Amino acid sequence: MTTEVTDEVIDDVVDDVIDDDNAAEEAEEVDETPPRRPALRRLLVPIVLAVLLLGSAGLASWAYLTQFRPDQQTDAAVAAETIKAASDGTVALLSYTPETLDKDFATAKAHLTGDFLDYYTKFTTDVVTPAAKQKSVKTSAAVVRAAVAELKPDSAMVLVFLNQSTTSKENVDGSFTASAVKVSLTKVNGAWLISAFDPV
Amino acid sequence: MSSSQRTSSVLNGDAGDYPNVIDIDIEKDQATTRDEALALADEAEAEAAEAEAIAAAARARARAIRLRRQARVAAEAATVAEPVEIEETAAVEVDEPTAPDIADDVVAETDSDTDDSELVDVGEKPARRRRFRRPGLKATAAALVVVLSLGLLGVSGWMMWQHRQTVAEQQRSAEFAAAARQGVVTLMSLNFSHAKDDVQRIIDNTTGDFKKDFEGQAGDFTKVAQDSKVITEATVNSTAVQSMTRDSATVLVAVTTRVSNVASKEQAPRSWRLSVDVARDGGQIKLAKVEFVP
Repeated sequence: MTTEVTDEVIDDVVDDVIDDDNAAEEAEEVDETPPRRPALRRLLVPIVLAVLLLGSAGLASWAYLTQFRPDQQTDAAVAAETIKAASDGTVALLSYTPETLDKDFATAKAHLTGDFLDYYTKFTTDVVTPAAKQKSVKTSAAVVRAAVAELKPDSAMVLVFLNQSTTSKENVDGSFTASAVKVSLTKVNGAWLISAFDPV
Repeated sequence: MSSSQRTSSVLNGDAGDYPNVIDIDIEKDQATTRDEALALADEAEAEAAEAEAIAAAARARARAIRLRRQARVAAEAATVAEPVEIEETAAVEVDEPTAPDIADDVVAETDSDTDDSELVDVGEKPARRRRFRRPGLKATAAALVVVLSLGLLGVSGWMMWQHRQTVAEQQRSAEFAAAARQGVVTLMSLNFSHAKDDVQRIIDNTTGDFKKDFEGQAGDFTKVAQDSKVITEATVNSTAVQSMTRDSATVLVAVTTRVSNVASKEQAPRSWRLSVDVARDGGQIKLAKVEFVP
């Protein structure tokens, strides 16, 4: 008997409490769904939080992959890297003496890649080596000015102003040439290598 | 206090606390027999316990409901107005020694499904109790998610802002390069048939000391061009920005010129390496210095 009465009273009280709560909630949260759909309301906060988390994570990933990382791969430090690679490569490419031809060309080839490496290998073997040995051609190059004309995460173009002096048996006093070269670079395994060399 | 409660107090041996009540009870109930008194006492005690249980149960249920709702509202630390009626309903408290035991039992039973074991102290005020309540697992997770999301949004905003800066810088660099290219073409292209216009165009495209120098020589320059009947065409092969500030830049320019005059139709092209300083002058980027790189 006692428990029955207790249950009844509790039910009454609970009903009252629920009514009170709903009234309070309606007053507090105007933009929430009506209290008639408690299941939806219970899921509303988890859903909103999940959407918030996924949305912010997606945005951060997108900003990092499409903006931050490419920018980082083309910043001032990378620009300086490409200028150094182009300058060192250009000097190595155009400096040789008849006594150390093989070593000089091997050093130069370490700076090159792709079709230009093939071209340089063929050209030095077929043309430069016989001429240099026969006429005792000695040449050295120096970079005067260099600046980045174009920079992408995996490729770059550097404008190089270079001076070259050449001596040979026929021209002991030497000749001096000044030229401007567009040096194209490609990033291979983290290193910038010359992929094209176009005097302008 | 009802008479039944008084009676129960008497029979429970609480007489010491209520000496006056005992005196009155003894006088009034002299006529009743011992059995009758016992029966009445049992009934009264049962009623009192029942009332206590109801009150306690109601209070516990009310609190359980409130807790669930607060968990849903989660981190929003809204100051929820306490439903005063609930406390009043629950406040039908009797100072029976048996009351706390029953109440505790009911509370434990009712609360087991809310996973909330903080309702140890039943007699305390609800406001004080809430202060000591640890946040639930759900609330902690929700707060963590919110903080993490806000952090990610902040980082995203920073990265996008950085990107805007970078894009703006790249645009500025391209602007300076284009201005240097155009300035050099203007400077090195000259047609004797409209030399005066060409020279004026050069003056319009230069700034600072370079402009002053050129203005001083403009007359002679025009005369020489007209007399020699020379036509110079300049072609820029490449440009590269070497350094840059907000309003000026140094640009390397590789340029080729072709000169022709009446005497010799066309000469071999000549290549030049220039280092050009450009600067903003009244919204336009102009040549500030041009030097040939030896």
